[in-house]
Amino acid sequence: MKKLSSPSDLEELRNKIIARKDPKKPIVAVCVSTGCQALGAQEVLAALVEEIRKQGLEGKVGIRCTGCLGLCEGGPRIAIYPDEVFYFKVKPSDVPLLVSKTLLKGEIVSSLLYSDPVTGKTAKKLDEVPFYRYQTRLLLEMNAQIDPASIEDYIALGGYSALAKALFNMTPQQIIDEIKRSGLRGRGGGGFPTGRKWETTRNAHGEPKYVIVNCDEGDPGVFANRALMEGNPHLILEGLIIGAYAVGASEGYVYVREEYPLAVKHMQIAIEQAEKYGLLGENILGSGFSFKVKIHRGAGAFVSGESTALMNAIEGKVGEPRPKYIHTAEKGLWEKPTVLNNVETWANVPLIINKGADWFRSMGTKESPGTKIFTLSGKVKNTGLIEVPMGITIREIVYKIGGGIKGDKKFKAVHIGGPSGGVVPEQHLDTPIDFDELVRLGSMMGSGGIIVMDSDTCMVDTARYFIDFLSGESCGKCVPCREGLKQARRILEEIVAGRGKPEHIKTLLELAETMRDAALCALGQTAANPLLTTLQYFEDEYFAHIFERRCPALSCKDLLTFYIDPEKCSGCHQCYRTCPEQAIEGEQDQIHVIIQSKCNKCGQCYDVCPPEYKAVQKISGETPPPVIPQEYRWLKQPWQTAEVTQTRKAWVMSNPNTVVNLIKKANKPIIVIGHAILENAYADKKLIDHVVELAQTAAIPIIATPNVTGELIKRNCKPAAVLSLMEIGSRLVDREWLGVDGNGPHDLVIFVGLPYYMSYEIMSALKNFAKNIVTVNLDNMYNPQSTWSLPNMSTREWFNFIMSIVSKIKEVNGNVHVPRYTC
Amino acid sequence: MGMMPKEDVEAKIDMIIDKYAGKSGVLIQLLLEIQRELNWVPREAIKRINERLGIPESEIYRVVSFYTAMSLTPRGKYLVRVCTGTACYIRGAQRVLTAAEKAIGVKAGETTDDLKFTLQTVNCLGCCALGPVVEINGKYYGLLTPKTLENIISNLRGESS
Repeated sequence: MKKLSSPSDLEELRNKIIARKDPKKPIVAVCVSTGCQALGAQEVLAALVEEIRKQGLEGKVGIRCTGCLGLCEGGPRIAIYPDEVFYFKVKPSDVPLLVSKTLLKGEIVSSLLYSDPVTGKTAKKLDEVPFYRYQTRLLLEMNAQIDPASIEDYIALGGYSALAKALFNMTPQQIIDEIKRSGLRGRGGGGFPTGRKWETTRNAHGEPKYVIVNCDEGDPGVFANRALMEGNPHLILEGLIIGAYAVGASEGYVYVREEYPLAVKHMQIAIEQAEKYGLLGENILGSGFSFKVKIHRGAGAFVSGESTALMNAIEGKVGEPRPKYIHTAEKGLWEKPTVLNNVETWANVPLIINKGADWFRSMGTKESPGTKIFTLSGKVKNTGLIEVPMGITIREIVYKIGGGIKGDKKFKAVHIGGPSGGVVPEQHLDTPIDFDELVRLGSMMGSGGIIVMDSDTCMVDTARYFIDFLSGESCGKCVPCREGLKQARRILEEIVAGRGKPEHIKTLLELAETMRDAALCALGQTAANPLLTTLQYFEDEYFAHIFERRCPALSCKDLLTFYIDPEKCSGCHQCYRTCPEQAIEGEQDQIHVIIQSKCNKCGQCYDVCPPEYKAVQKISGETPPPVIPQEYRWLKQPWQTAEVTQTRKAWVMSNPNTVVNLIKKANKPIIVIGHAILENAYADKKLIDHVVELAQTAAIPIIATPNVTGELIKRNCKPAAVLSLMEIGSRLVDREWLGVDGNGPHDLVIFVGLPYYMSYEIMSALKNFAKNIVTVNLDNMYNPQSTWSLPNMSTREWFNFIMSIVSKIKEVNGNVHVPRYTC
Repeated sequence: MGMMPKEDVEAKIDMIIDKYAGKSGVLIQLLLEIQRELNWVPREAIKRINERLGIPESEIYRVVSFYTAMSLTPRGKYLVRVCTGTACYIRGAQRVLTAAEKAIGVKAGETTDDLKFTLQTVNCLGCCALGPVVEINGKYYGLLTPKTLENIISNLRGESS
């Protein structure tokens, strides 16, 4: 490739590239930005390459990897040109259908189209999607159409024409004037007029001069710079070169945070390509102007995004701020005049140079012209990157673009501007937002993060979160910021934990004031914003925490109590299975109960409780109602309800431990076995095998009916007595009977394998005439006449139950009472 | 990675220092490269930089301890970074973190004894629309629930054993 040495070379190349492109050739554009990758874009891309190869379409279909289009929740996203069909949430398994239908036949796969979460309507084209319809996408538009690793894609769309215009048709002063006239303000947050900054540097003494791109996008909840640099690095680079020419800089830096590896990669490729094409380096486009660019990677420190800290970092020092007695535009990097602008600011420059200041001024407000990219996230239906004209209202952003609040909850506030921004409550929903208006509301533009909060978000906890974040990121160089944030954090932690004191609010205000007035850099000076705005608009929430120990948003863990509403619980058992602390009691078809002493308030039971029941309740500042007693917890009685049971029904044994405990407590237990014990089998074993094992493990004698005796003896188990059931019944009722060994009456009788009508009669008699005897029904049908009974159970459950009695007895064998008789 | 023989580690450190020797303002990039290659910044590296480039040890410590990208202890094979940025936070990142702590068996900022996992929190990964997000060795996982994260961790554990 020969270097381009004049603007006409560039135009010629552009025409060549466009001519080479077949406008009818289908192109599949796959978004491979970080967001879509997190949802599996790489896998989709691989499937696409494979499918195109399989169908023999190589060369006939182009694949293009593109940058972010903003609606990240709909990823992985694919666009098909020239029809401009957009598919969302594409899975690798959708690819064959997509290729055979849309690429080969030109038909739409409607299941992959965008479906509006509000109206349910599908949309084929991007501007039919409400999320996009209300945006003005100057900077982000190109992301869909270009491969960030291809300079030719960028040139085909008119790329570097602004650079040519600036270098050959404009003087540096004219460029600066144009930028000044456009009213472009720093998109990094401060909103300082870009043109004025450039002019200061141009007029400042000192050589060389530097220009820097700030892509240390450290604000949590923001990714506009990442999307721009990943998706369209040449746009930023072109802006930077124009800026360098305007201020007379020969060297530039692109500072990218360590967390954005893909952005670094794409910018690196862009710089190499631009150098190869003669658009960067020595004698750019033959104009005589030379300029080089280096990338500098951050290393994970929020404060390094501050201009002086960033310059320190490039100089190889620790990225901490230094005092700005003289503006960095005059004494910046290595004490030389330096222009530092945000990624988005630089990206606006080529557009302004190409289309003029008047065009730029036609958008936005008088004091803040143009568009602004915001990152919309939190509790809205559509989240992602949006580019809108300045002066748009918060209502339009949240409801038109964002589609309203998730789950149709109540809107509470938006938090704008990153950690040092502030919350804007409902009453300001219709305020047009630009740089100045936001400052008036106590917030700031910051990096353009808009986090939507609904009635579930606690404002005190929000303040605590940001103060905690800033406290961790404070470099510690100046006392007001270091100590102020630490103390504010400590107080806020006390408040959210329910230990707040009335005087805390006054202390917080004092700390906020000191930080604002005395901190060294913008981090500390604005750190109190989240605190001040939440106090200003949501004072009542602070009061509720402090005076009532109540969190109105039901969000602060320490102030919450969970309980299960017995009226609503359906006994579905979901919460029981989810609880990580085993703090929930209950079984299927039983009302569940939370044991407060075990509950760690993780809220998982609250989340899994099916919406049709909503039985798990979250409360704050009140005590939960007392739990209902065990015997009232059954929702469906697991037996036939027509039974006539006189005064009392049997207790249900749901836990094998109940039987173990009964055996442990008994002085003279006995097991009564009927012939049905031979008729039940499960998994190669008969019931008799398990019962014999039980008798032998627990050392309990057996009374059997004659027809079972043979089978017992086969199993080396000699019954203590062989009697008919009628006989057994009448002996047990007889108080004079001294038991099978003649040493005294039995106090615990376990029945198993009896015909239901027999055991019903026998236990009814015992219940009424032998009150000293506790009876246990171990058959798998509920018997209301016994003292304790199993519920109705399947054979599997029944066998398992008996087996677990045996194994539990084995565990505690040392403690089990051993009667004299052994089987 | 931390299991390399000592001489190899020293040779590697020297090689990296060679690349940066004689240039100014390179300390951070140099340390980042050591971190990338060795997965931590061992004491020997700090001593060696001091000997060869004359930068005071205290200054090197200051840099290493200031930046989250550098570590003074060995890091595990898998670096699990749970995003606790604002957008992820209000969408339940705290619970994902608790699940990660439970699944991995260490607290945030710690490494397992077998050097398999290091668990960290990170301020923002820039995938705010997909919160909660976790990044593991450069791969991003979006729209996570505690359950899915547990599955991812147990898969990784199975894979490496």
